[in-house]
Amino acid sequence: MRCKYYFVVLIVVGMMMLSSTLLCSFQAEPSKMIEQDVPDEEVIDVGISNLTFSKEKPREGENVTIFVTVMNNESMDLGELTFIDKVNITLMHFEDFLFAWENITVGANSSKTFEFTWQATSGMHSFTAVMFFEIQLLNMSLPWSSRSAILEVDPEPIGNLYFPVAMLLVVFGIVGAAILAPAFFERIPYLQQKRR
Amino acid sequence: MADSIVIKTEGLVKEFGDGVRAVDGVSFEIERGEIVGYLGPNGAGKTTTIKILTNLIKPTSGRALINGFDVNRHPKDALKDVGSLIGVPGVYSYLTPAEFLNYFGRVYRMPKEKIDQRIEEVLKMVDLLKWKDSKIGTFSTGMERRLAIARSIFHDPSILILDEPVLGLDPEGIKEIRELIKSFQKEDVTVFLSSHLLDEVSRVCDSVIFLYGGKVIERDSVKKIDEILKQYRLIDVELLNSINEHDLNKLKDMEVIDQVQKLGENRLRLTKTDGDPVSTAEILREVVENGFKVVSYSPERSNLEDFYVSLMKEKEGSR
Amino acid sequence: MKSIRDDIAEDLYNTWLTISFELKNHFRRKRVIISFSLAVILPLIFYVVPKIWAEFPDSADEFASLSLSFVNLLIIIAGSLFAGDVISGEFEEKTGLLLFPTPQRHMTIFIGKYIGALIPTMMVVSIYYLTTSVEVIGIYGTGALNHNMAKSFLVALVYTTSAVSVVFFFSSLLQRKITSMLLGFFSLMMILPVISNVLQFIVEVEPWYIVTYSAGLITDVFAVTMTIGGGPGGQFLLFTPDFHLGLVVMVVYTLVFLFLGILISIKRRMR
Ligand SMILES: Nc1ncnc2c1ncn2[C@@H]1O[C@H](COP(=O)(O)OP(=O)(O)OP(=O)(O)O)[C@@H](O)[C@H]1O
Ligand SMILES: [Mg+2]
Repeated sequence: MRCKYYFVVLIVVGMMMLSSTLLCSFQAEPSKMIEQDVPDEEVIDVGISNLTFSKEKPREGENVTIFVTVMNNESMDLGELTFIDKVNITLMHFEDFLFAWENITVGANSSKTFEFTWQATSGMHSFTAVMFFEIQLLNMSLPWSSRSAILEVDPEPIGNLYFPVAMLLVVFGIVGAAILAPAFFERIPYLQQKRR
Repeated sequence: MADSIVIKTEGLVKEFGDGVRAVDGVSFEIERGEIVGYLGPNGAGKTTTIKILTNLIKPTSGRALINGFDVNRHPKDALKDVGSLIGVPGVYSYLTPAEFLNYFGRVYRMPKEKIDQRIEEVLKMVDLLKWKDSKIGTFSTGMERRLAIARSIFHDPSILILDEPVLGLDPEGIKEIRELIKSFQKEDVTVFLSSHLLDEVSRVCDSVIFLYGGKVIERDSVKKIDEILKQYRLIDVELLNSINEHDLNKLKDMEVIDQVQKLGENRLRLTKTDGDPVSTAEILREVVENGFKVVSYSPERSNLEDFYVSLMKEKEGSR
Repeated sequence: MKSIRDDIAEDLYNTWLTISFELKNHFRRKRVIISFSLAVILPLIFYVVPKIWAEFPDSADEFASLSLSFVNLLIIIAGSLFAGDVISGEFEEKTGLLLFPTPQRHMTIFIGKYIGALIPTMMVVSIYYLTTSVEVIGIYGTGALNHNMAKSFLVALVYTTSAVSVVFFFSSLLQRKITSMLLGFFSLMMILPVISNVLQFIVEVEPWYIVTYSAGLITDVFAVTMTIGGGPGGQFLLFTPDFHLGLVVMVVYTLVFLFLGILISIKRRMR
């Protein structure tokens, strides 16, 4: 059961990831939303309406919250829908393939936002949230709706402004001191005697 | 130290890397207003002594004092009233004489008006006023040399240290420099100049320090040189045309020449052995005035060595 | 003996005189035209080439780090031109015979000459950064100019002091100005980088003590991982210089080579 579920996820999402990474590396426009609704016909008006991040351009190492909003325009709670035994939401990320997986319920005619936290690493990242209907009768998971978004994370800034300034001051200080030094050394009686 | 002593060396020794002692215990004192010649054959250590005196090199031992200040330890005090000319200095090709002198004027802390005034004066003196604002890089060797001389007297120094000042100058330039040096005598300027030409030194100096093999052999008044000149007044002459019997007789008949020795087809050695002392230059002038075309001449260059050898022997004998 | 205050004031003034004299000398020469025009032309290449044949990088930092990857070369060229003959020229051309018998400490002359070579080199570097900044503003707008540029500039200035020091050292060591210029140039351009690359890629140890390796910080501070030759991963780097250590190495090079150079110059005989 589980095994099958993962298998489907792998294929479907893998394709989406690939296309989005390609888009990501060639187009490379930060935080561009890519909408990809899997089913063509909306039999059931349920889906992921939004995938956003707590920060548009986070820095490396920062904790980013990923918001996945699921809307349910049906007159029934998600989970009470015919044939559907469970509704899962999966968040995927290129590096850690399956980022998070959650069993969800969303009330009728409402939407609900799910939060995931992620510690940012530098570079371009693509996140994809997929909603699955689990149908036990058919022993399958049906990907229903998905959404991708790209997040650009600035690398950790290297260095600071103060240190090179300090280093320049050190250089100028020592060079300056070297100009003054002979006048001092000449006045040290011990050195004077030694040289005579 | 007596106040009147401006230059003093105490047992100067300079040893070069290869163990050669270029200067070997040189001590002398020079008083204010004296014009002293530092005489010695090639390689005697004249330039080395002068480089120590001007802080270009440090002595291996001993010290050099100017106005009571150790030159190598307190160059700022020792050299502030010193003008120097050492060897054949180069030029800052990209500057003009005015800019060049301006920098040195500021190094010697001359006031601005004084600098401007001296630039005019000094450049006029060395005949470079016309080129005041042209790049030094375009100058001829003679002009460069004159500029270096201008620089050495620019700040009105009361002490002049000159190493072979007439080196590389034409006879006209040599004459001008001589006159310049002589004029310092009246102004109470102390001059220390090195040369390997007896004649040169005898013309401008009050006294002479004889240097040989890095050691001071003798310090004497310039009269000593006159004596030497009496003994060793000979001049090698190269003429344009080959010499015949008639020429030889003509030369022998001349007042200033006692002996004529034929060295080659057109080379002669002329000697004056007795009678009133005359300088080699006078001999040369007589020769030229008698219609001989002189290609080159070298007065007493060779016999300075002879003189030194005899002087050394004399000294050793007396010990 | 005069007071220490007067003494120091004199030394400072003498240093200043040498600096201004050196600057005057430098600014009369072709080297100024060469290095200053390179400071404009090199960054312009990075503007013109993508403008005509390709696209500009996505971010200002990427553009800046690409354009500034050549500032290193310019520092070495300008440093060799300005510092390569400061001492050797004085000996080879015998101008030292005029300069050294003056009432100055030779120490102040040599330090003045170092600073006199450092100033025009730093000016060249500044012009390079100015040109790059103008380009960044032109392409990405004023907002794109961030403090990474200032950081890189400061690192470049620190590197300039060490590059000029190394060349100054060769200038004091060697007899002829052409050899001192070339050796200064090649040691920074080839010898040290080759050693650093051998250590990095063959021996696989970090050559943190080599100044040209630290110079990588000039572009590293933009923290963009450049993908050279395409493909994810792009450039493969085994090591990157540490910011603080790299700058300290630069300063150590500056001081060691400067004072070695001064020591040799003072000891050196004026032939
Ligand atoms: N830098 C040096 N290294 C080694 N030996 C040197 C150096 N300078 C001078 N000497 C040697 O020291 C000796 C004295 O040289 P110096 O130049 O002082 O002589 P000089 O009296 O000025 O001779 P000249 O009339 O040729 O100028 C010479 O034998 C010379 O070869
Ligand atoms: Mg000499």
